[in-house]
Amino acid sequence: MKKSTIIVIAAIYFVSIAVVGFFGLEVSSYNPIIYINEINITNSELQTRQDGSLYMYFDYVDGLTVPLTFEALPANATNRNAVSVEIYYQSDQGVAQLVSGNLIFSKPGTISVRLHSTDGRNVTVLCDIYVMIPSGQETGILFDI
Amino acid sequence: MKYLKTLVLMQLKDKLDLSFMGNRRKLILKSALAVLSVVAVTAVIFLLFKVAVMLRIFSFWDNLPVNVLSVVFIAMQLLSMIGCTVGLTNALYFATDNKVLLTMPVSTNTVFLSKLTLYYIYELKKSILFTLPLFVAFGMVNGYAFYYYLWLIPCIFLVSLVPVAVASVVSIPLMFVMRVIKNGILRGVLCVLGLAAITFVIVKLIALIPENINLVGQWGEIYYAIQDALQWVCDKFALLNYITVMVVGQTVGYVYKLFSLQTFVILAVLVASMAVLIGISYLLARPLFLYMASKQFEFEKNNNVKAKPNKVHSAKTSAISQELTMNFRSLTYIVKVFGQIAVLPVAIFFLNKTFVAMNTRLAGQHMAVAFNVLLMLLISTSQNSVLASVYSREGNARYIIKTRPVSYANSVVAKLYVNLVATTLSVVLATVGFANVTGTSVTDSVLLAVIVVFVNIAYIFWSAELDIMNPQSRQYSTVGVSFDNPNERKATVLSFLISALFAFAVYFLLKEGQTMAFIKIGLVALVFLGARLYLYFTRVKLYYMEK
Repeated sequence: MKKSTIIVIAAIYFVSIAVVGFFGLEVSSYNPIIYINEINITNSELQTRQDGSLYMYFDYVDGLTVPLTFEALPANATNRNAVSVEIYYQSDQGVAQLVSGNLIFSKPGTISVRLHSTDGRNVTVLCDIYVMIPSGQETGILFDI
Repeated sequence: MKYLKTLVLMQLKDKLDLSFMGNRRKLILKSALAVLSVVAVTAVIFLLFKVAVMLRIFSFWDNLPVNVLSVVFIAMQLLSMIGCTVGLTNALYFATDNKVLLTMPVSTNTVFLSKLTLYYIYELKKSILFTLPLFVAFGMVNGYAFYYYLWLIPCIFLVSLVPVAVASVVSIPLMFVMRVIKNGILRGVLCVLGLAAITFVIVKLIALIPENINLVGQWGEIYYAIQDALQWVCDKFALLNYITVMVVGQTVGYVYKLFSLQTFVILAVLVASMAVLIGISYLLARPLFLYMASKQFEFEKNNNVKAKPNKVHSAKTSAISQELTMNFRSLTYIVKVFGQIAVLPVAIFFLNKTFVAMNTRLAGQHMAVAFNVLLMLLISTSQNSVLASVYSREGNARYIIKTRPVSYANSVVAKLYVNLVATTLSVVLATVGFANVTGTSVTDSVLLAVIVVFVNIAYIFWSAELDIMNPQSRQYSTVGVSFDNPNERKATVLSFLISALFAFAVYFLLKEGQTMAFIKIGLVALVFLGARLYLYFTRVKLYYMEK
């Protein structure tokens, strides 16, 4: 091969890389936000029903405090803390309140909590929490006749 | 001195066309073209450096660091040293013209010095064409003062001496090695093993390219990796790095100084080193040169030659056996065939590693496939363009084929077998590399290989046909191999056209799906091959027809 042919082929070789590099690239943002796409409740008491819904069961004691622990995925999400927790159903008024991520139960009952991401994708997880007096410790009304 | 000049000019005339020196007009034209070449190379290098500075690839500031220039200069000097060592070893100890030169009415010292001077002139020519533009472009990019360019002139003369001085000393042990490895087969095997090792290292380096390079996102890491690599090369080849510092000066703190104490110290050490090396070569190489040149070859007899029984081959294999025996005697031919097999797969492997590292959209992926087809065809067919002179290169011996009592087609095709096998092997390896990197399906990979092989075979026969229809035997028998063959030019143009056409066709058909596109192009390639084979054999019959 002549030197001129080698030079031309080498030039075409590098031009091909440049052409694909300039005209063939996927358009993407250089500072992409990685959204939360999954929220997992990590409490050890968590159980799953057959239909996939989540629930937890606790025995009621005075001043029961349930720390609600969860993790937002993926691990490299831009804002992993953008998760909001709220109690959206209570079986009776004043069963529980949410204080600094902890559920403080004033009396036995059933509540439903909703965790959802606030970074834009609105990923939601629901969980029912049952707090019951353990059997054998029910209190009754004593009539003194 | 006068005899030295005559000897050097005499030897230069063999390698270079100096006919322009007698003609004033030609001299001016040749000089103008040479200056234009230097200016063009300087402009290209300046543009590359300017782009690198604008993109802040090598430095955060608006200048190009010295270690970039150093690395390029080190690479050029190493290549020069290797080329010079091999060339000088052959020229000093194994060239047949040494015996003729020693019969001239000059001292052996003059003959020896003429050889070194000849190689110095080659190196100087290369330095003026490549090294000088490199340093000039570097100075222009960094805005150096006018005296930098004046300082370059003596430096170029000194720098050109470095490869020659090193080669003149290294040629001594190399000569002994080449004398020990006399056996042609052993030399060929060692050469192939050496080339295979180099190819293996290159492939391993290419395999290190990561997938999904995010240039912008990972720029911090990549920038410091580049800086570390540049510094590593400069540290490993510190002596050559000091030469660069001597030529371009250095920045101390924020102050740039072309001339400092270090400059003159390096200059003194360099001059002294060159003097020592040339002194060693004069003391050791000159006696060896004289010994080798004055050896009486007429009475050399190899008593270890064993008689081999004459192997009788069939009519078909006899022609192939002859071609293999004739061609594989030459180490140059072995290197050329190895290059033909290895270059394409390595090039395609690197190309696809680069493409895969980019995040391409669908159009980009189609472009990548089309460019793969273009470059596979371009490289493989261009390597075979030399077949457009395969019959004519024998000169008047071309017509010996007509004396054979066998089919002419057998003999003429035998000359193409090595290229056919080498090209097929090369394309298969390239396709394996392509499939491995891109994850292409087996079907598509096989189809791609079939397309490229068919087109190459068709091209090989087309090139050979050009030589049959327009023989240049007379030119080769009188002028020699350096003659500019119109058939080879035509074949080169054809290779570019065919590669471009097939690549465009692939690109436009890819929207129908890769497999369907390859099947359609494969059918076209098959028809093309059939047509070229038919035309080739028809013309062989016509050309070699007995009246």
